[in-house]
Amino acid sequence: MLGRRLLLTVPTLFGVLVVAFLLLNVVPGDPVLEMVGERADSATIARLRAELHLDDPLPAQFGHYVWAVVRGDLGRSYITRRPIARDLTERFPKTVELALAAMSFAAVTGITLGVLAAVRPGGAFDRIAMLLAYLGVSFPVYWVGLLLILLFAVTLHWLPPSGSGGLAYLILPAATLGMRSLAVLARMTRGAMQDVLSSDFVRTARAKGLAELAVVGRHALRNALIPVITVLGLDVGNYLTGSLLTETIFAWPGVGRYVLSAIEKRDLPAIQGSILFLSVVFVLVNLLTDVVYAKADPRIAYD
Amino acid sequence: MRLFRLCAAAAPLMLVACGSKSGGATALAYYETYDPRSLDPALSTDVPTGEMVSYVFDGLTAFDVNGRLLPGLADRWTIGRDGQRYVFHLRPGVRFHDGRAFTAADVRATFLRVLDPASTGGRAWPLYPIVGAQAYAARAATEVRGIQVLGDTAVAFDLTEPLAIFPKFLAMPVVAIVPSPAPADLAAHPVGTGPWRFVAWQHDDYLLFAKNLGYWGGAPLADTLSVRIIPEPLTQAAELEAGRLSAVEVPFGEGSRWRARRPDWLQGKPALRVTYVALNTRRGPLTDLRVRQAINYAVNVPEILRTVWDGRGVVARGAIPPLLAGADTSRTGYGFDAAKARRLLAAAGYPSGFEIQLWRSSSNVVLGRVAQAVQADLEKVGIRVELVDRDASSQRQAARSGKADMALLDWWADYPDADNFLFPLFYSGNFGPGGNYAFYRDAITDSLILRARRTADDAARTALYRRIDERVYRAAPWLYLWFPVDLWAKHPKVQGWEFPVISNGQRWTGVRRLP
Repeated sequence: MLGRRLLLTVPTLFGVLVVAFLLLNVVPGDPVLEMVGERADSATIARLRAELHLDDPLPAQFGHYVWAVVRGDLGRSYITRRPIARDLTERFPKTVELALAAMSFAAVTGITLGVLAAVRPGGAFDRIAMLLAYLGVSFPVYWVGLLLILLFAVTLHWLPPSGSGGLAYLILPAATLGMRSLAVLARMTRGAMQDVLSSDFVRTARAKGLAELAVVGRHALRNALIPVITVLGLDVGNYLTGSLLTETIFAWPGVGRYVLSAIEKRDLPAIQGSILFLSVVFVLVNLLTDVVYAKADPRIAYD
Repeated sequence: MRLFRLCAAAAPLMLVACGSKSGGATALAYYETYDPRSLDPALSTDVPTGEMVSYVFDGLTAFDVNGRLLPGLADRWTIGRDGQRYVFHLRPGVRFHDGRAFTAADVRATFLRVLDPASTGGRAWPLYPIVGAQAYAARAATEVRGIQVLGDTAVAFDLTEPLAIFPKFLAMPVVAIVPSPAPADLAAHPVGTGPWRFVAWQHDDYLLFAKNLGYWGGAPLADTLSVRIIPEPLTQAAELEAGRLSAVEVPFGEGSRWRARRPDWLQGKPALRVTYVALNTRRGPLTDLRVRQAINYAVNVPEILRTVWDGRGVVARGAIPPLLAGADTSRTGYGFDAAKARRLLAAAGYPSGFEIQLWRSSSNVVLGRVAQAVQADLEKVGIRVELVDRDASSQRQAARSGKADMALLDWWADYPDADNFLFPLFYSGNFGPGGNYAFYRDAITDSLILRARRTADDAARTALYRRIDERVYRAAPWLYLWFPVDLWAKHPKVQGWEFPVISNGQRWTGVRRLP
């Protein structure tokens, strides 16, 4: 099963490779001019074009490109001249760190809120939690991030406004990045819990005299979590490919910002390399999620 | 406060991450909006790189915060009677951070390295005035005849023609002196003679520098200087308010809040920068002088400056920023006069106006709004403007190649001299890529600009600049907008810091932070 799934990722990745390669050729403007900035002489420009194979026929250029990628060489940034593969692998751990923190925060808080809300539907806690969840989905990330900075860093001085370092630096960006998932998870958990709580086996559990905590915690939650895990699994790929906005607001040195600044500077090899790298991450993470999911729930099988 | 102490435990990051809160009284913290391209002077084409280079390296000359020329690694220089030969006498006893002694041979090696096509910095032009430099850069020569090493302590340059501003070229970061032979990883681990030694660089996160105790100009007052990379202006401001940055530029749109809340933190100074709309003098109706003048009359510049630009600027009646010699702040400007604009348009044969394109860059939001305001004003006199949105580089390319009727742009000084606003922008030899996006050509202007470049006497040169600026202004190759006034905020605990009008003019040596 795994082998087949793995095989299926090959055409996907090849497609990405073609798109990433063509990017350089469809974007208007001369990439070399971007490299050398204002006031460059034509000799330099001609030499750089030759170095980058820009004057070769398209298939030959693609050949050069694929051969390099296969060797793990994503090329060098036009702007910094550093190898792009190294730039990305330097920043990726930071993105993983933030992603894990945001997901843990969203999962723990979201599921807790959802369960508590479902226990007494229509109660005060339910209403407040669902209102918060509603706002969490609606508020723009940028705005929430800046408000959190103003409140917790500038006014209260509890946390640093931005940057990376210890745990203190992780809290605000993780909360900002996880906010949307938190809200979705809270609503999903509440819905699933309500379904489960009104099902026959829960009635049976209550009837045989189990404590409410055991009913909710052990019997109901376990079953309610299945759709929740699905949603969480789908999110993993999104988180791991970096967050442009959160990383920018909090000056977090992850891959999201790398991609953004590459786009801003029209650093085409860096954009190309990032697309390729992030696509691979995305495809692999989704593959992994599918596999884990099948293991967790025996009813699911991939043919 | 507990969490701040928590972060102080992360020892190596402490000075940077926890900055001034726990890093002690002697840590300074600055920021850049994006990661420097490199730390190799030869690659310093962007502001962050130029600033970092100015901390670690020295040039033969230097700028102070107000853009005045100072001696650098050369403590004095002499100019031959013909104005074409410069002899720079080097400061004795200077050492690189790795202990090597600095000599005249390093100057020559540095300059050859910058000119070498293999370094592909693309910005070797400050050295082009030297005899043989361009040929060397084009691989047409194996030696630069105009550079002569005179023993260990002096170096002479022969120029192709007299150039009074040449010493200013040598203060630019691209020609900062590196040791020879240059270390292979200079871009990542720079070794210079400057006031700060390089310590660490975490990409997109921070750079850390420590004071050079043996600096020839006296060691910096602070022990360390960290430079955070913070893209979002509102986050930068929050970092300053939290006491973790020494100074920041006040974000656009936040000016009034800061003026009300922290007036004593603020510093405003006219920048060496001009914001303008290049009117392509070779395209359509814009070939007619009366049309270009009409455009200058039709747009209510002071109003746009006040409302859209946060009032942060001085209306431009010329291209030379007010801080530079040659600027004429008393010149009579076009002024806002829609009726006069209509009369001029009628006289030019466009009584019912015409259609035209204005190219703007979508990456600069505020400038984008300025374009809309210009469009609205021109509409009132019958000029129907189509806004063309492109990313910055496509817009620049269109302007360069002459495809844009009008392009909204700003020009930043590379060196603080009026020449940097006249020669690139209005000399006909600099059409397109050189900076003359208006494709303005006037034989008298050309000859005056060249004459000014060759004039050694400062007063005479200043008079020439004023005359050129006046002449060009009347020919209206631009819609003249304003000289931006930069607004900065400095943390009250930081002493001795002033924001520089030219980016490498503040080297943080005389700055300290009170506990």
